[in-house]
Amino acid sequence: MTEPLDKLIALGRRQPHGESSRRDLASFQAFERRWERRGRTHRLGVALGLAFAVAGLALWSWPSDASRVPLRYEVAREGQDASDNPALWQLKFSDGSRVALGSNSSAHVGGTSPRGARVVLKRGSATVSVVPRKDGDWWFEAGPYRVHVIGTAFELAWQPERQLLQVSLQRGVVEVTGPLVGKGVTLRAGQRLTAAPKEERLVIDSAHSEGSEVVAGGKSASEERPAGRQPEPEPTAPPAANARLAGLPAGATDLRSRARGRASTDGLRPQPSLDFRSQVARGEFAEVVRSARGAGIAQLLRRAPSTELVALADAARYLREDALARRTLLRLRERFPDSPDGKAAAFFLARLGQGQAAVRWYQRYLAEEHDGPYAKQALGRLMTLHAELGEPELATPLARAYLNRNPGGPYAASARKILTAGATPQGE
Amino acid sequence: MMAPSKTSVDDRMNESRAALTAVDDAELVQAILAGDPRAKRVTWQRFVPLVRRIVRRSLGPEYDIEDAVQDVFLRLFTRIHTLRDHGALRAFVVSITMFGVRYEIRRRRLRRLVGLAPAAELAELRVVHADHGSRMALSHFYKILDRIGARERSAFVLRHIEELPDAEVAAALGVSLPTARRLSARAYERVTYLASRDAFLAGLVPGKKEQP
Repeated sequence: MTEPLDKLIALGRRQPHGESSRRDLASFQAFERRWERRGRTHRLGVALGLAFAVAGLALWSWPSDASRVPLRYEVAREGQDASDNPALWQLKFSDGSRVALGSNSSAHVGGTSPRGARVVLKRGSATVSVVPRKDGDWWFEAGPYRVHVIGTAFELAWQPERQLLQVSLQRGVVEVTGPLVGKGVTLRAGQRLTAAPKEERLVIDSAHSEGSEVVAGGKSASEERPAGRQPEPEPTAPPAANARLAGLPAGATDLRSRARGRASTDGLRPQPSLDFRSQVARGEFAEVVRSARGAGIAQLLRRAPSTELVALADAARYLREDALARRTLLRLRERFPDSPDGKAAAFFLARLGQGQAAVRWYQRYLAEEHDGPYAKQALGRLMTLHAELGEPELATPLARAYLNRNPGGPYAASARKILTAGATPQGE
Repeated sequence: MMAPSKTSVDDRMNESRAALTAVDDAELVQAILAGDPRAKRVTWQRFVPLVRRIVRRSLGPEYDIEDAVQDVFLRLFTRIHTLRDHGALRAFVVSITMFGVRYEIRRRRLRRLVGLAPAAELAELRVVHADHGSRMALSHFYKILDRIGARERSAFVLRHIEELPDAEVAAALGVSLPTARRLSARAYERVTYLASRDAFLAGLVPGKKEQP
């Protein structure tokens, strides 16, 4: 027997609640910082803290600083054109972010917060420039698609009649979710994503390419090409061909849709529907590795997006499958060398290594990401390694640098020992 | 000059954390109380999926929940000394989570009542479903939950969405079993009534119980 709210309750249950391992780690680190601050506050005295808490409760309801005030925006028309040509319409936000609409385009602001806004592109195109900030939270909707940005410049185009989406990223990093894309694809600067679920087509290529798109099936790509460009011939790659042989520019990825019942057109093993990120968030590490092997590790490493490679590497590390983790991380760096994931791979390769191999990877990570999310850990570990390897002359300056950056961190005690006694730390 | 150790610090850390990961909840509580430096991370890894799921299902798709999730763990480690039955750590976590959820709901309600802009209530648009209709239905559903009391809402989420038994709902809310049943039943009736009067949701809510 069905109950009145069965359908709504089912919707509530299906909400995603997992986080990628990287975002989970970031959240845990934020919690640790809050915990440390909480400890220091507690030492000031409970009575004093209570007094502040009472005063704070009264004041808390009011925006105490600009960070609590949602962004304001205005709809402005640029230029001298007195007509109603929407090509000149702009959304100007109070933090300096801008959304410029293309001709015959339509959009509205769904809401704002202190950290960003939600903009709905109903049709047409928009050129977006979001001011970067550490906790930026901007969302752009186009039909069923979501583009999540932190700070970036990109172009977004949506044709509702054809359900065709295109995102061209000029600067920064965005995450796109929606049909075919699934739980999320991360785009980096210079990439362009084209998604057409009705045609079961999804391509990620260079934003500056001549549009050499591989069509997995359905309509050809010629309708999307600007006038004057010739369509690419349908590729007839041998079974072992990869995206490069199929005519895509270097670095392009042809992510085929789930295409239920449709055979692969090039003889390659059908692309599995990857959801490693969610599985890792749920702790299903063994399942991730099993699925990866079933799909073919080599193929995955060649074609999967960076987010899935990160998740696979994490799962392999947690299962102590170091060889697989190392291989995945190396490929991640090779395919996405300038991305945050590619750079972070150096840190995790260091953790998998020992001795001088680990030293070299930590050094490389710190050279590439001096202020990256793992920089303090890398500094602490590198310092410890040099001390363990009997290199106090290398450990000592690192100990100073660590204490300058992170005087209360987990390696602080070891750093002080190195500086004062010159002894090898006992370990953390 | 010390000889290099055969096992790196990292290996020792991973091994010791892996060892703590394998202990049961009661031993984990003891490790927390003893100030074991690994305990917070292990506790986080063990319970954050549960906490995130409950917070998300309680607050809905419109909110960034990570601050609320961190608040739960802050409160957990602050109040862990009050847990008498160390084997009941999971229930304790659920209880603290619901306390945090109710606090968050009341805080947002107060901000709306005093006429403040919905700060930080940015629509989080990580896609839940590919179709627009389901997304809107979910949004309307949680707006309806915003209209019922925080305790009733908590009871409703735990009993009907999270599917906890009545006894666990009662423990999580710190109420008696009959009270928990009454809260969830009342919440269910109210949500049904409000949903049937919502233009967007009415089609999803039959007027009365139906046979399949």
